[in-house]
Parts: sequence; structure tokens; C-alpha cells
Amino acid sequence: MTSTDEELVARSIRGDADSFNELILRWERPIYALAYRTIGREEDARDVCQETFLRAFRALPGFRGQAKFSSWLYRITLNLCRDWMRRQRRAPFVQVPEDKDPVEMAAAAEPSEAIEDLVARRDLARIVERVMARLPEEQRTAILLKEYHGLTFQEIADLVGCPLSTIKTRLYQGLTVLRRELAKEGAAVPQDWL
Amino acid sequence: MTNHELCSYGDREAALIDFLYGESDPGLRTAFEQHLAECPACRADALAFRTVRRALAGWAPPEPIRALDHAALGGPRLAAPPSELHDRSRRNGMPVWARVAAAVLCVGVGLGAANVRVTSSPTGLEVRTGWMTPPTPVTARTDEGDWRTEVADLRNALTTLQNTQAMLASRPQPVDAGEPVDEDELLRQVKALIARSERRQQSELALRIGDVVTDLQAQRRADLARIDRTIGVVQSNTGLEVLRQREMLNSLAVRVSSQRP
Repeated sequence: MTSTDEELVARSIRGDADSFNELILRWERPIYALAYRTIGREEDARDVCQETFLRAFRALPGFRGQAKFSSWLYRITLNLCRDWMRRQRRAPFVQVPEDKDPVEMAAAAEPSEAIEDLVARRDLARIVERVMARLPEEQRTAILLKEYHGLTFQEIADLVGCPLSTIKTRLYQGLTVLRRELAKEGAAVPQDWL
Repeated sequence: MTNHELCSYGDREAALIDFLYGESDPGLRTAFEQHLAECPACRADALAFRTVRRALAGWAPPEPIRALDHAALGGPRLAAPPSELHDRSRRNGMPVWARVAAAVLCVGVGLGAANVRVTSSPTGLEVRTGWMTPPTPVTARTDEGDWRTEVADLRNALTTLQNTQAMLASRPQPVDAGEPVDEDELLRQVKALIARSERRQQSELALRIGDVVTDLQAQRRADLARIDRTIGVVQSNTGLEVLRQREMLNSLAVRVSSQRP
């Protein structure tokens, strides 16, 4: 039977290293995905991911369960990303994956997927990455947490520390900007996706 | 006029976002759906936002390198350590016991360099270092011999450990002979791997060709634009030159006509 995050946290606090390892296995990829989409660099995203778990491990005794464990991790990640961006003193540099290995893409694709669809998907992903980098930080954060991590509006509001209505406004404004920018880039989204 | 200005629905933005993400109260959702049926502006926004969300869904970060691909290797293998967080001891390539032995050796060498001597006397344990008054020659010689022997022993032990480690590392891994290998199944797996690899190579080739075509087209467009610009510059330079020549001819003609009687 799968243990919940809360059960694993409680065991980790009591000194069970395997439980914390289980938490890492469970949340490593979502944390890495959030870091990558926020700062746009693979290596730095991995560093942020590792640092997130290090800080979580050190601060675990102080975690009282006021929020979900995942939300707590996301907050640590976002703070680390913000620190990274301040250190870099520039807008997040998004590495458009020009050399993204087509073999990986082909391996990940269904055998029956047409090459044209694969290329179109890759091109669109590049465009999305570029336009996301142009969003203001608060709008981008709201969209990342909502679209890719499935947090509710209230969870996002608690995580970033602002009212619920503000989160909805940021989402609306962010989607409006993305709509305009995607149209400028000439991005064509196939109607049969999802 | 923006869609926002065309519609007077109360708290339109929040209602649209609630509707889009399915988090609205059922009653409010129904009310907004009825509004969508009557409001082309909101309908257009909802459709556009759905399209944006579809585009966002296609953006995935690169996979971080982690465990081995079980399927590609044709069977279960020992997964890579779950996280570097708990694997720092192995990252430098030296196991813990070797590092402890190395640390002990370093301490021993340090003690030797500091000329540390430990003696037991009726008054208790005495520890002397190189800069303290040395004891009687006979006693000192014996103590020096003791710790030097110990350091030599430690060094030999560490060398033995390192040699053992090197030997173990070079020994080929024993094949797990748990169950007998089914040749037909193995052949099937190998064929499947080859077929998958061939498909991947074909896909890769097609993608590479697509890349080359895209690059060529981009380069061609850039070259044509540069040629256009160059022709434009040449044309304008030529025009200027013609104009200058005309002005010179005109001034010459004026001068000639003024000099005629």
C-alpha cells in the first residue's frame, strides 16, 4: 500500500532515511520540471532541484503540516529560482533546445506518430518556451503551477502569498499575453491535440 | 474594442478562468455556460484560451539522466541510485572504508611529522611532541620505533586494501545464473530491439532531413534578403552617380554657353 506524503514525512522526521528517499523519488521530477520551466537551464534546474531537497531535509523537523508537502517543496523551489534569477541579474534565459536529441523524441513518440507531427510538436514546444520566458514572473509562476502541477487556485494563492482573486487575474493576464505572443510567432496548434 | 469591453458579465475574467479550469461552483458554471451561448466575445476568448492551454501542454522539460532504461536493455537491471543526494559517498569512486583508512594513514603521518610520542608512566599517560624536551635516548628510540612501525603497518594495510579494491573492480561481474536462458525469447527480444532501433534511426534521419531543409530555407531567405539589400544599395548608388554626372554636365553646359560670344 502506498504511503501518503504525510506518513513518509512523519517517518522521515523519526529518522527513517528510506522514507525521505521515497519522497525524493516521488517529487524529484515535478520539482525539476518546475525549476526548468522557471529558469530555463537544465544544469541549473538540476542544482535547484537538489538544493530543494537538501533544504527540505534540513527543515523537515520544522514542517508542521500546515500546507501540503508538495506545496512546501514548490515554495522552496520557487524561492531558489528567484534567488538564482537575482544572482543572474537578468530575465530567465531560456535554452531553446536546438540540439534536443531527436532519438529521444522518436523513442518517446508512438511508432505510428507521423514525423510531421513530431516536428510540429517540437517546433511548437520551442515557441512556447520562448513566449513563456517573456511573461512577467508572477504570471509565469501562476501558469506553471496551474498547468503543469495541478494546484488549485487556493493552493497557489497560499503558496505565493496573495489573494485568490489575484491568482485568477494573473492567470487571465498570462493566458492573454501567451495568446497574443503565440499568434505573433505564428504558432499553429493542431486541433486534435488532447 | 476588446472582448473585455464588449461584454458586461460581472467579474468576467474570474468567471472565464473558473470555467476554463473547471473549478467553479456548479451553479455559477451553468450560468456562465448560458452566457457563453449568447456572448461571441467570451466564446472567442474561451476557445482561444483552450488553444493556448493545448500549446502549453506540449512543452515538456528534457528528461534528467537517471536510472537505466529497463526496456532498452531487455530485462531488469539494477537501477541507478535513486538520487545523488544519498550517493555522495560513491561519487568520488572510493568506498567509505578506503577513505577511513586513508584518513587514518594521514593522521599517522601527521603524528610522525609532529614527532608525537605517547608514553605510559606511573604518573599517567604522557604525550610529547617534537618541540618538547626529549626523554632519555633509550626510551625515545623505543617510542619512535613503535609509532613508526605502526605507521608502516597502516601504510601496508592501506596498500593492501587499495590493491584488493583494484582487483575487485577489474574482475568481471559474474553472470546471474538464476534461471536458464530461453533462446527463443532472447532472440525475440533481440529482434524487437533491432526493429525499435531501426524505427528510431528512420525517425532520426527524417528529423535530421527536416532540420537540414529548414536550415537551408532559412539560409536561402537570408541570402535573398541580403541580395535584395545589396541590389538596392547598388541601385541607389548608381542613381546618385547618374545625378552627379547630370549636374556636372549641366554646370558644364551652362559654363560653355556663358563663354560663347
